[in-house]
Amino acid sequence: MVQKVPKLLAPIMRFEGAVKVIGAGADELYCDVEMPLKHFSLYRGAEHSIPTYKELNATVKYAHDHGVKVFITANMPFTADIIEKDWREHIVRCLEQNVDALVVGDLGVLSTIRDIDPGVPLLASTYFCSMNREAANFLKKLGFRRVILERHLTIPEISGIVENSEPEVEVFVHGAGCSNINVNCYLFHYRYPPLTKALRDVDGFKNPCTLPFEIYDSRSNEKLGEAPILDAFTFCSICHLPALVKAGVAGLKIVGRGDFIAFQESTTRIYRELLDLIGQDRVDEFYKKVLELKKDFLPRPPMFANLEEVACEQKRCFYGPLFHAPYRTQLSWSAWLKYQFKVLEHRK
Amino acid sequence: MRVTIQTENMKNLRESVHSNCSGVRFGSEFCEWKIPSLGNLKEAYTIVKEAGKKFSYLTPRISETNLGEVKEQLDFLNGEGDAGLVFNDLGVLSLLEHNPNLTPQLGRQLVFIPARCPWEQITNFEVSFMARRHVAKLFYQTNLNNAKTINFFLEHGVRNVDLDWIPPCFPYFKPLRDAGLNLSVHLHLTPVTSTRRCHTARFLGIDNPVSCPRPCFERGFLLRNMMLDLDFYLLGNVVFRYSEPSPKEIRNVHSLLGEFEFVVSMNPITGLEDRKTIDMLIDNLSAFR
Repeated sequence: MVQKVPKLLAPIMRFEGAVKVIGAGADELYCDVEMPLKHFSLYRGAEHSIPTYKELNATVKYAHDHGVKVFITANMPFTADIIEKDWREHIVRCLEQNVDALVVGDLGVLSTIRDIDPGVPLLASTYFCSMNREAANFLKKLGFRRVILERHLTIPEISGIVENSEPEVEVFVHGAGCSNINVNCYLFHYRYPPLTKALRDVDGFKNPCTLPFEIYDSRSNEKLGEAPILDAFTFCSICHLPALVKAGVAGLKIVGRGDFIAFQESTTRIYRELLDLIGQDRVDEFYKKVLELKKDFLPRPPMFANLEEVACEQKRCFYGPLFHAPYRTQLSWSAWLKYQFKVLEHRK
Repeated sequence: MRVTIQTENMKNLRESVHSNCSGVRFGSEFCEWKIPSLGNLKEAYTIVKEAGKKFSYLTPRISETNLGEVKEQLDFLNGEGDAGLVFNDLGVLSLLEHNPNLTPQLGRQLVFIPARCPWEQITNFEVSFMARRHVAKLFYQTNLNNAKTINFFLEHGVRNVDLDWIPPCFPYFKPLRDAGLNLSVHLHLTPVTSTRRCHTARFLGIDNPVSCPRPCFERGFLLRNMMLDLDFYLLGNVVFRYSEPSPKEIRNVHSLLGEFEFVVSMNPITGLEDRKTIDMLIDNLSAFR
């Protein structure tokens, strides 16, 4: 029996990455191009973007030659009158490169795009924070073909939305993940030198939400401890893949435009293999493969670990119980050494 | 001068109605697990109306799980026919199409303000002066400083908007007022980040959101990072930064924005938990005007 499986979306930020993830089995790619507003990095810096429209053009051509679609994330969660012209020019330039869809995360940007009449489908970004059927249907009425759900929903909630809403539904499945609701998080906005230094000084940490905080009772001022109290990110969903397929989602998105190409490629390959096993109804092989994968080395600096250590042991599971996620602890010397060996091995 | 008190529970609501505030908001702004029961909502509505004050119901982002409950509550309020509805979710805005008697008010989670960021934006010194000025202009604006966005909400019946006490943003709030929106400015607490995977619940070892005893009604936390010389406040699933308005800022905002509404939250961080402290605050705000 052959079962229909969702499209697999891989992140890229370079042509070279596109070649790799297409080879690894991606159905659709998503990427961004550096905007003229490069000094205004609300969410992420230009290092997550394809640097030029020319490189985007080459990427789209290569992808189309291999039957793969390319989506542009035109989804800064914000626009203002003084940058509307920049947005318009940027969108037009992207469309000129024959991209297949636009991911949009702001109502003003949506209106600008509709004025352009882009002639490609629009996808509602997770920045719209869709968490229910009403929101999904509302976005459909605004012209979106697909809605990307907020990443902290549960599988029953996702099923409920898919069953009761008109647009296609896409969900996140793997990668950095955020502890907080994406569009309402103002922690990671800009290159602030003391923040950069703090993040660099704390071994293995990447985002401001992973920094340790001293915790005090706000009334008594009693110190209650020190912990990375905001650190509740989700990372992996391989165990939940059969349920997500059954729920009827249209797309599964891997996070990590800014990640290493090796990570983008290997993660895409892992999910492709697993989805194909589900599609072919080879359930036993699927679960055997999942067990093997958890032990594998994950090429994702600075977390030189395997899935079991990064995700399972720390309960960093997409679509798991909402309140679970213990606090990470600093690596012991022996664990640190073990990871260094893994790094060296990987570099070979 | 109008001051509206924002409350999450019946205890605070009962205190607030006896204060000199002009209106009371009841409900949960950020956490869907703190949505009051329909019974509590009915009781709160009655208490506020009997006190002769304006009632607004406050709703957070809503997941599929809790959507039905909110629908039921909106139906009740629509039947009463005289309430404001602060919405933070596009799904709730959509529900308002079936509840024409409710006055929609755009909540803070649908208003994007880069300057909520706790880090100074203008720190890339290799960037040219002109570029930094351009970035500064953007940093203090909101997503409503775009004609298309503001028109979208106006077309959907929105006439009020929630904003934060961030003084450098005030010049950019004025165009929102000029476009026809009434402004509600939250004092003290500016949301920096929020989550469904509640940080307070995790810290206190609460596993199940359904049976969460809602410790945030009584308890908040100061979060201090020494490396960054930074203080945040954690209340439930939201991290805030705190600012105390100065008399000069209060005078300035009045001269700049004209008529607007202050919103003051009763919670363990603001320390406003009884009628007396609320009235003292209102007196101070009036005196500084």
